This record gives sequence, structure tokens and C-alpha cells, in this order.
Amino acid sequence: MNQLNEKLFLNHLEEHKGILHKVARMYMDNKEDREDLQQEIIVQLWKSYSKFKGDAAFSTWMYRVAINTAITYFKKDKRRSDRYTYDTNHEPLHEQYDTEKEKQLELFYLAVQDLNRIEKALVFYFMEGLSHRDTGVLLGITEGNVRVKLNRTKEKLQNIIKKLHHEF
Amino acid sequence: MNFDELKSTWNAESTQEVHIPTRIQQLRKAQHPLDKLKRNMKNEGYMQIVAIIFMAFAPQLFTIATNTYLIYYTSYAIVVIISIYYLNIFRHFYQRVCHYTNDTKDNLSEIYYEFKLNIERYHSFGFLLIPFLMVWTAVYTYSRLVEQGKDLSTIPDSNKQLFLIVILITSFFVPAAIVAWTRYFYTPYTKQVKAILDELKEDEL
Repeated sequence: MNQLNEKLFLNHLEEHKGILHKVARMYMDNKEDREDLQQEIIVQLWKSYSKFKGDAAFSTWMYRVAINTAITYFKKDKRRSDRYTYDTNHEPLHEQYDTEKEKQLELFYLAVQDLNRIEKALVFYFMEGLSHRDTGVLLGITEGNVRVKLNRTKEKLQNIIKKLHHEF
Repeated sequence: MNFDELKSTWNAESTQEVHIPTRIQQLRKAQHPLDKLKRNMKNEGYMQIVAIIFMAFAPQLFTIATNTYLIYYTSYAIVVIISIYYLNIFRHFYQRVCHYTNDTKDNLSEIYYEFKLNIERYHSFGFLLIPFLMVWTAVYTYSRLVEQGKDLSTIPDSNKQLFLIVILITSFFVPAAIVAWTRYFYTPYTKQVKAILDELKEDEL
């Protein structure tokens, strides 16, 4: 039974590993920290797996655990990613991008580093295509609060991009 | 900023770098700050159990006068009862606060208030040990005096005052040390959680 559970869990994880990738990219600004966070989210997902009843979609349950883990995953020894500011020197965007769209996404991730943890969660759910209502349910706030906060966060993102001297 | 265009790139993004283990056993131990804090508290709990066992044999190890055994073991029994009560509460705490399946606000509130409560319990547990410390000091001092053929009435007044000052300083120092310990190890985390909770508050339109 346990082996079956484990296999089912890992299959679910494989299917939804995009969530791990994106949450880690939103919350951590370097590769090493991203890998740490991905591993940590998997650990926490497995620890909580017995609480997954299957009456909700696995992805919805995974959003909740992944975001809650990322929000409270404070790095004590290193510079915290939510203290990242566009006034400091960013690592140069030295990678080669296949398309202009990929470059835009890279810039988006860079700008996101300057948001606070709740703003990152709002933007993540928005990018995943969740409605204001569903985002509110996952965050535990009202639909109206989501709308107001999300609009402000988008505005903030645009300002950050402008300060980075880039326009989408 | 064209979010629709960005969303399509976001959805098409490669996830090749994500490593999913083939077996759960390959997963490392949880490194989450909350798990680390719980592990710290758990280790401190084990240390307290060792200390309690050690205290049971302290009169024999430190050759305490046998006529003070009754006083010592009465206060020791109180310490054991208090410790069982608190260690049991701490154990429940470790078991309860370890999942992240609630909505974010509930999850953060639970972490914040449970930790705050646990820190207060930690303080009160430490403070409750002070009377025992005083009993031990008195019993130990008395035993040393008896060894020299003296008793408490033979202590000069100046030494009695010094003894009182030492007791007062200890009474102040122990609670201060306990508070400093929790402030250093646990309070920074609760402050960070509180800051995030505040970010969830309703925004005005």
C-alpha cells in the first residue's frame, strides 16, 4: 500500500513538476537555492500527502503546499531573495535566449525578485491562470482583496521593469 | 507589459532542470526553518530529560546532607511533574505544526500563534525551575557547612547578605537568560512570519 502511494505520489509530481520549477524561480534568485527549495517542497508535499484526499485536483493541493513552503522558507545564512532590489547590481543576463519571448520571461523573473512573498504568490497564481476567487481561497483572503493587491502588484512590476530600462 | 504573451511563454517553459526522485528514500531530511526549529526544540526536550535524570542522583553525587533529602526530593518531585506536563505539551506541538495544507493565511496564523504560545510556555517552564534552583543552592550550602561542623546560624551577617545578593542575581539572571535564548533562536522567525501575515491584510481600494 505504501509503495503504491509512493508511486502514485511520484507520478503526480512528475506530471506537475512545472509547478516546482516556477515556484522555485519566483522565490529564489540563484540555481542552488532553487534546487534546495524544489527539494524542500517535495519533502513537505510527501509529509502532507496523507492529508490529500483526492477530492480536489492534485495541482490545487500542490499549489497550496508549494506556495506555503516557499513563503516561509527563510534563508538565514544567505541574502534573502525578497530583499533583492533593482538598485543593487543584478547578475548580467548572459545566457543566450532562443527567442525574444524567452528573454522577456527572464526579465519578468528578474523583476519578480523585488516583490514581497505575498506579491510573488499573487503573480504566480495569476500566471497559472487562476481566477481571483480561486486565488483568494488559496491565500485565505477575499476576492476583492486579491483584485486590489494584484492590480497594485502588476503596476509595481511595470515600474520595476521601467527602472531596469526594459519594456515588454 | 503583455501578460497574455508572457503567459504562453510561461506555460511552454522547459522543466528539464527539475529533479524528481525515483524513490522517496532519496529525499533528504526537511531543511525548512520550521522543521529546524522543531528539531532544536525537540533536542532541548531530550536535554531536559537527561537533566531530570541527573538531578535524581545529584544529592548522592554532591554528598548532600541526608537530613535535607526530604526537602530536595519534594522539590524534585514538583519539577518532575511540571516537566512531564510541559514536555507533553511540546510533543503535541511538534506533531501538530508540520503541515502546509491550509490556506496561506490560516497556515501563517497557525505557525505564528503556535510558536508565540510555545515560546511563552518555554519561558514559564524555565521560570518554574527557579524555586528548585534556590532549594538546591540552600541545600548544597547547608551540606558544605555541616561538613565543616557549622550550621546556617554560624554564617556571619555579611556572608548572609552576600548569599542573598547571589540569590537575587540568580533569580534575575536565569529568566533573563531564558528570554535571551528564545529571542535569539526563535523570535526572528516569528517576526518574519508576522511581517508576511501583515502583507495579507485587506488593502483599501
